[in-house]
Amino acid sequence: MQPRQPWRPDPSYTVPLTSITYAIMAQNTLRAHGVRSNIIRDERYYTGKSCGYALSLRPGTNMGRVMEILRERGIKIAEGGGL
Amino acid sequence: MIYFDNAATTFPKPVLTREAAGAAFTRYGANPGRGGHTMAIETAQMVYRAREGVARLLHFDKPENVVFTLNCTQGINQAVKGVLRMGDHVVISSLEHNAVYRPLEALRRAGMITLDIAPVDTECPENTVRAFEACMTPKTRLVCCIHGSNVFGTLQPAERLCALAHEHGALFLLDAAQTAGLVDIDMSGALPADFVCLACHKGLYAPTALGALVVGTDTPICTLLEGGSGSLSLEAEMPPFLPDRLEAGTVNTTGIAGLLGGLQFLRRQPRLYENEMTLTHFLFDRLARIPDVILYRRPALPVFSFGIRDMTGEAVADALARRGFALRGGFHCSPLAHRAMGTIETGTARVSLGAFNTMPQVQALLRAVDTVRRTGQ
Repeated sequence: MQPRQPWRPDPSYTVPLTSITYAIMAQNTLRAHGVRSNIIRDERYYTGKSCGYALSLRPGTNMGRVMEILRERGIKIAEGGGL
Repeated sequence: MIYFDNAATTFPKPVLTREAAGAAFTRYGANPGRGGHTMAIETAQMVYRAREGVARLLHFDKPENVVFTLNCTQGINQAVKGVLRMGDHVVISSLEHNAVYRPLEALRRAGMITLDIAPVDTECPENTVRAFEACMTPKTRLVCCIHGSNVFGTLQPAERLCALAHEHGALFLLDAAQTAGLVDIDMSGALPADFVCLACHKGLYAPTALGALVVGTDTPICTLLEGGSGSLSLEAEMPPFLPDRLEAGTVNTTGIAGLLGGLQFLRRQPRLYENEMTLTHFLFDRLARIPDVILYRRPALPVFSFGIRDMTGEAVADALARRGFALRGGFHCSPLAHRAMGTIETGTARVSLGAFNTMPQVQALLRAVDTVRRTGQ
């Protein structure tokens, strides 16, 4: 019997972060700009460069703007993510 | 028992602290940054709010650079041992606590660094700055200063010493164990220290076993402890980014939750410093009228030392303890300060006030001191 696959958010709308602190910073920063997100832990980002924590955003979110906001705040995006 | 030992740790803790710490046993019981379930995320968010609270207190815009430690001593050890290299020179003040003095003295004895102690002139800040300046050399890598003396309650000219260190290309470490929560520390303005070390269980009214190291520099810092951080888990080395780099192992979530309550308490007490100083100066001035009582410096903080003629500081504190007063006697982990102020033979009795001390308590202490000096016990 195949193990059941966990639910996974759309990688196009997922931002992997380097740590839980940066995930919370990113979530708070985006919230201040009116962008809602959820902190998730996703094994796809559980690499040597990431903690597995990521932000999941609603499909249709302007990801270019999201990345710009996070860059301006100096928030480190983990390598190996879906972006 | 009437508590006058707030410089060691504040007591009692506010109801806000107790209630907030209690939430660590119910709402925030998970390990932050280690799991993806709801309680782990919510606990991590609670910890982050505490980082933000500490950063806000210091007018600092990088909550991610607030590193939680076991106590102020651990933060100081991490900072000094994390940046000093073989051959570096360090300058400290003559009022330093052992939290600064011992780690640096250990490095000096190991032949790693050279160390100079700049004499503080408690009457003239200008002379203190000049004394530090005279110690600076091209090899000076770090200047450390205790912001407020834990023995005599004097404030050192930290802003000017920070500027002096930076003019000479050195880092500046502020030991704010006695001042954070009482005295404004502006890391984004007048006091851009490279390291500010806090004892959260003192003026921030958090539970014990919680300190913080606030890092204001981009200088690479070697780790003192290595271990799990919840990040870059497949790497053999600690992460390069803060706070993870300097927070090996699980943080003290109970203490951090309590810190949030303590910070909330402080925000509701905008005149805490003024109120404590009113009582402190009343006590100091009335002690000055009692024969045989020895006083040293009129304090700028709600902590000061005194003595009674022909009694050691420890004997005075013991006699007062038998009468129901909690003070600290002896040397207060500060041999440098006692040498500097001429009290190394006898030590002192130290009285330190907190948010919950009252005028009747102060008056009761004055009566007890008068009795002790008359009876010698």
